[in-house]
Amino acid sequence: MFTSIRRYSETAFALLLCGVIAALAACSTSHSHLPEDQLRAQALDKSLICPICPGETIDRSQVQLANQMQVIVREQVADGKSDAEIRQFFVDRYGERVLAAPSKEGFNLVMWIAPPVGITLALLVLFLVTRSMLRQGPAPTLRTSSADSSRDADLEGYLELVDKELGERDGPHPPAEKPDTEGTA
Amino acid sequence: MADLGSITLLLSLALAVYAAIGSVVGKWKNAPELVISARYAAYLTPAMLAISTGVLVSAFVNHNFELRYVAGHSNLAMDPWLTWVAFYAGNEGSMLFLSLIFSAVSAIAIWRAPQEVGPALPYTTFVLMSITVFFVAVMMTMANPFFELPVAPADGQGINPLLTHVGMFFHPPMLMAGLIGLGIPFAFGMGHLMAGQTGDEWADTARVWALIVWATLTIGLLLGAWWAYTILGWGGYWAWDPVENAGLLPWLPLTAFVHSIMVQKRRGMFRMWNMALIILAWGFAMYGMFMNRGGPVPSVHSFGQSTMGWVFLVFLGANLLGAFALFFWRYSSLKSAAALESSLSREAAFLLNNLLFLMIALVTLWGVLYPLITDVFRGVTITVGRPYFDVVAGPLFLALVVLMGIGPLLPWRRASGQSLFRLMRLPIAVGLSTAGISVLFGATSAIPALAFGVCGMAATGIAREWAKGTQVRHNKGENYPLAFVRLVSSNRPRYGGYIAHIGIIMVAFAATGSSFYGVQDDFSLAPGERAVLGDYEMEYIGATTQIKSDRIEQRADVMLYKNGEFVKQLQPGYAFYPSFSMAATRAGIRQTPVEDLYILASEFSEDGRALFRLHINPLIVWLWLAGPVMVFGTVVSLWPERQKAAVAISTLRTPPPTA
Repeated sequence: MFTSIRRYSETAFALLLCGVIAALAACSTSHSHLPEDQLRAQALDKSLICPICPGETIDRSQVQLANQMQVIVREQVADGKSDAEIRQFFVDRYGERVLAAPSKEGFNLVMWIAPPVGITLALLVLFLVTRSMLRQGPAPTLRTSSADSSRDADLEGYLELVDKELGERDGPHPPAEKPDTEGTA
Repeated sequence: MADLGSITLLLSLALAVYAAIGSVVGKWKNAPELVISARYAAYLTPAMLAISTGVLVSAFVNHNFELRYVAGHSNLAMDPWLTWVAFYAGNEGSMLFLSLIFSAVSAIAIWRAPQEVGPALPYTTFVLMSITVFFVAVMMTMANPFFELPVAPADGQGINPLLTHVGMFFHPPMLMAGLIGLGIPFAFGMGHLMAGQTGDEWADTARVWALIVWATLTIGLLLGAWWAYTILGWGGYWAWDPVENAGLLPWLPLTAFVHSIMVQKRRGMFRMWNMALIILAWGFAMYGMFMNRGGPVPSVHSFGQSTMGWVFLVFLGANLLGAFALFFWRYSSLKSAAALESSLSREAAFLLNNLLFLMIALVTLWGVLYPLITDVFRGVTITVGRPYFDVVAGPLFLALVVLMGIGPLLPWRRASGQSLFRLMRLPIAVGLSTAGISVLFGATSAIPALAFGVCGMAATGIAREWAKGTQVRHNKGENYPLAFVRLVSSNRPRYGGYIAHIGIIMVAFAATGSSFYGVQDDFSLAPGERAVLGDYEMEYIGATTQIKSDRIEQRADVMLYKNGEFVKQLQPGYAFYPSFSMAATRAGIRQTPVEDLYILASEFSEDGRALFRLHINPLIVWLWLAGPVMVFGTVVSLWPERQKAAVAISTLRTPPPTA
């Protein structure tokens, strides 16, 4: 009986959540689209730094130079130049620092490659450390017999917990945090 | 009056020095009276600094322009309520604020220290008071707020106009308190290393302080984002600029720490790792404070004074060197009391969580440092900005949210693949449907759909835990609300953590919506003309100009329509401050749960024409709502459980923790 009640409330909860999150997500994504050229120009604005106000893209900056650069971007987009060409135009004038992030070529490849390499290495180290920690640990005891445990094994965890709490509040063990264990031993 | 401030500064320095040295010498010479007197000195230090602060505040209120600091950061026209902001607006005042807040929190930490940290407390006091000594000494020698001008000017220079915003009442103090507050858990860690107490004695106290600091720092960061959104006038809230990164960097290892310290508390594991994390977090916090004081990057956050920057850098280096020397000295005794039993367990999930946070911190640091590398090796100045951080840190954050959906559902010790599948079935189903629905209704690319789906999954995992637990208690005869409240209070660290997780999901949700689906457009309008963006239409009525004592305000009157219906009247505009030749924008914002319509108006010309920039920023409100949710979660997981846990642990610690 508990099972069906639980399923019911869980599903209701899940549906509600899914509904709210998905509705918000869906509404937020449904915008009329601006012309392609304009979107490109806006994206370019966000990838160029205003040379006289360090760190601010020309999209953010409100100084004259940034506005002029925005005008140039729009002119060049209208002329049909590619993003790379337009960026190069500004790099030729102001140097590499005009780009919000370095291009993925030459020496700067180092910057782009280091993070994924580092992350891969770190995951590898984590894997090795975990494995060695597992080896140091006690030999695997009884495998959790999830096959024969009922579908409500996690529910039993809760029942146990509630019993404990309704009975002696502070047992000799730390407040057992095993609502979702399925009989740890 | 100013002399009183200087005298109490000097006294606080003397007291702090005495407290630092006295507690260690007392411990070595086994002289409890000395240790106790050192403790009282530690309590008196913040009292002295509070008097200095009072003197400075009264100088502001009374317009005592003899003080260089008061003359430089206020004027006769300044609203008295801005005194609070002016107090920490400059280098000198912010140093005083940092010293006061740190010494006060240190005193509370020493006073409230539970029994199990007792043996290491003299050393902890030493570390805490040494940090105080550093700040007070640097303030007195390089940035004395009580420095008197030979001739008092008739009027002061006034306050930086960008700071005259409600957010500035809380963002700087919260962030400063959060950064320096990291010194508290750090000091407990170091104190225990010095005392050779390398078990789990420090875990509980450090966790409590780390959580308090975490909440403070989180709110500080969010308030900064809110301030940027409403006053910097570029329609965004986070730009990955070097100083923002400096605030984020300590937050990352600290967040990792508040998770992994739980593992130490519960299972006696990760002892070495937690020490390393807290050292790292404090290192990043000092880096953040260094960036504010003449760091290499000029920005709104920088207080200038390059010499002080160097002093901070040396302090940072000395701290890291000392801390890691201690760490390696005690290295062999920092072994775990328990072993990892399965790679499919909550411990393992915590390990992966820590790794992800650390990775985000490191790739961020890499982005911050890389320009220095090209500068040195190629002699070329480059910028590393948003495109890098979005691409590199974005996926790692997403992976964290995925893990947040799975990790808390995993049991300690070990889980089976089957049970994991059973636990994850529903969350995954909800995640997939969320992603599916957002694709059906206009999500154009895979990444945001995936991100929305992940948010759905993680939220369902938490909601399901709540629903399940509440249902079980309800079946035991409690009504639903009571069952829910009892459930949460039955295991506060756990359920408080879930509440904080909901806050993080809200941040992820808002970040996804606003970074992938924001739309903007520029318009030049004459009065009476209209502009259209998405479903919105804006009518420009006309402009008004107001000349105030310190600024010229220009605002546009704007009528906003959505789908043809009038929704709101807004007054976007900006204020120009002639004495600073600086403009602060005041955006017009109409906020709904789905999206913000954000209007900026500038370049008003004689004939009434003005430039408008309209943004549709989806889901932003969830970002601001996340703040209170996360604080509430922290309070739940901390407050009432604290006394209970302190007692429980001390009684439990006699036998070694169960392996």
